[in-house]
Amino acid sequence: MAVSTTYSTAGSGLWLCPVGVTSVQAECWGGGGGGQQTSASTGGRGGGGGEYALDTVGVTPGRLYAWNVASAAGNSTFAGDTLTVRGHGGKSGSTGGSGGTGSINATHFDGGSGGRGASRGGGGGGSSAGTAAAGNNGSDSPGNFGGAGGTAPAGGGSGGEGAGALFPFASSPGTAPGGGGGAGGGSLEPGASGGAHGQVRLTYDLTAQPVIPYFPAGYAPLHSDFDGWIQAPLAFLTSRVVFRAELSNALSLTNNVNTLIPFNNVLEDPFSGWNPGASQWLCPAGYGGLYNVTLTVSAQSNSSNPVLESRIGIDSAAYLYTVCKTVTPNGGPAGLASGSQPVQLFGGADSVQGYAIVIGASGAVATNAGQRCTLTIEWSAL
Amino acid sequence: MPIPPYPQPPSPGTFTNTPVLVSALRDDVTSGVTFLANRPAFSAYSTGNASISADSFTPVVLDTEYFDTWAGHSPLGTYPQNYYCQSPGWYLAEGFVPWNYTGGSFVALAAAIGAFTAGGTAISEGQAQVIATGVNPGMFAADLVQLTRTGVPDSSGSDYLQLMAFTNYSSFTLQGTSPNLPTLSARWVGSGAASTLPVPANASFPVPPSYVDETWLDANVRDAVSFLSNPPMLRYTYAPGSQTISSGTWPAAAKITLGTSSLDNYSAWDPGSSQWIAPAAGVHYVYAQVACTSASGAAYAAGVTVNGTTTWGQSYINGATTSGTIICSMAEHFRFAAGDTVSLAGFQNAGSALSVKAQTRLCIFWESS
Repeated sequence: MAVSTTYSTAGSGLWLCPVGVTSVQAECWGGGGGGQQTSASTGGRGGGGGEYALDTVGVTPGRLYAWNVASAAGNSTFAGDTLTVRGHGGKSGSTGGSGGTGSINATHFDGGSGGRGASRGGGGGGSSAGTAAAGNNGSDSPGNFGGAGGTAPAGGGSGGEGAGALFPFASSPGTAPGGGGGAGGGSLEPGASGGAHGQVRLTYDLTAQPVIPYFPAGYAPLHSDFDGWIQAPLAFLTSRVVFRAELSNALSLTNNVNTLIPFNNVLEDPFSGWNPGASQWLCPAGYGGLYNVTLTVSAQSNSSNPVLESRIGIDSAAYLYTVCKTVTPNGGPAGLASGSQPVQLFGGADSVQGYAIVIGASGAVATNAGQRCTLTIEWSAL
Repeated sequence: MPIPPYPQPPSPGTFTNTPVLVSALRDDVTSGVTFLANRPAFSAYSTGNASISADSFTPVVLDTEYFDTWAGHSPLGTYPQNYYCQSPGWYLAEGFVPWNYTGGSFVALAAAIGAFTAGGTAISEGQAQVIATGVNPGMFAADLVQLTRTGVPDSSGSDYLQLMAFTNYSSFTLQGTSPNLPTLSARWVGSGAASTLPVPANASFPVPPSYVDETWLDANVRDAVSFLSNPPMLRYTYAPGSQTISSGTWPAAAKITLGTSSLDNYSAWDPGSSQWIAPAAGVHYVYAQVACTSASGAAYAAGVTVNGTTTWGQSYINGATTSGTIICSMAEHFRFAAGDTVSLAGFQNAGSALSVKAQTRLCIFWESS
């Protein structure tokens, strides 16, 4: 099934490559140029429409990729592993109003140019390019009237209309994605409109990868093939990567200090990921994926009821996830905070820690069985 | 859908005295393993310091994703608060709601999971606290939820989940900066169909000249995949009644009797003893939640009792109010042996018995051998 993700608000961000996806069809529309504002007797020029660019980009599951949706006249981009798709922005009317151009991607179409102004009339903005055709130019002003915006081809955005002394009395902005703005109509109607922002669309196929190969017709599996293709994956799914530990030693907790929990009683760790010196569990190489982490922390406080927080840390607290914050007793029952969070770990690289923080009082962890700090980490999916 | 939601094992006898079809292997093994290794998983959070209105469960907009492996959520879509079902089955939904507490006495705050399905809207409350002093609390919530109707984000007629927040006090906002981020996570757990299959042995293929027969293939391929796509699962809730928790001395546990089943695919619940008898050995995820009446100055805790020994999760002390409901919970992994008994444990020390409330529940599912 093809899945599309569209970013249609100006700005930038990161896209997480899903499991099994190794290539993405990335489409980028540049931003439209703004119309020229002028108070001279001659109207301004419309802004150029944004360029459209498409390419197939190699990506790696689990990695983050940067996208940028341009505001007016800017370039929209998506950067894959080795290739960047870039749709160039149209020029503003004041810098010539030409349509966006210059992509080196496999498929690309130029944006339409903005129309020229005439006496008391501004030119129309050029449309952005569509997915299969170049953008259309904005119309030149015939004088006293604004020029029409370029009509959008399929997938593109229309150019805005220029202003004119007789009609229309105000220019209009380009429409997204990437339409150029209409120009001002000169001294009587000088106001110009902006170009529209661009757009980035990512399309990918979630069926791209099987974990084990398809069996060819008439295939008689060897025992080694069976073990590698069937028995091994099923055995892994049956017996996943698991780590469980608890803290039975005493540990003081200082008020408002994030305290790393030195779990000392490892209940199970078949991949030997626990590093007692650093009090963290290293995800074993070759076993990256989504892990579910449950964390319970305890604090026997010594004054007024504080808030106790359990926090999961990744890579020495470079990433922290608070999973529970509870008002705890200061006598009798131990303070306990329990929660869970799935996290993405890269094998051989990412480590997991457990932290406790008590706010409002100092304290010490409970060491009685059944009231201890516990950390469990379990592989959940690729 | 791109991958079958779970394998389609052939009926017994399908391959008697006939070759195993490649198509059957594809369905039963390739697709099954692929799905199980890539089961739908999602986690996203809110950075917007969401404003929560009083006296209603308010959905939280999830503007940023940690991951969304089957694209069931669109942060830029019309409904960024929704996670849409991408494959039918039971999901573990987990949420965390951190609050900006800005004052007020006896303020009830809670986290919840909202499930919107063909059967209607179900709001599963998680931890609930009543705050009377200047703290920023945060509540965890989890539940096993069945979703069946699939659809792309923003589609109508599809089942979806929401993270919800509740307050009885106006003008509260949620926190929205790391590490205090309102977060909703969901992952596919199993189909929930009735079963009695054992934990797979996953035997190695015999080296020739030995040969395998249908029984061997069924046990080591079909049944293995079927078990993994439908492991032992339980969701039991308290049937509203007159049960109370006696005031106790820490850490004495009170067993909570649960009477309403929505999931018990291995028929492992013993209603007579109100406990779950683990049908298979392995590491299990356990979510235990106890809700009871609020009492001034009382401490509360929730946990589970395994073979008579109780492990506690969250505890909480009530500031000063006697109104509302206090909900404590525990999320934990346990290693159970087949036959281990598991029951829900509650504690309170108000000095008098307190009533158990309907939000009480126990969720368990097998994760790994």
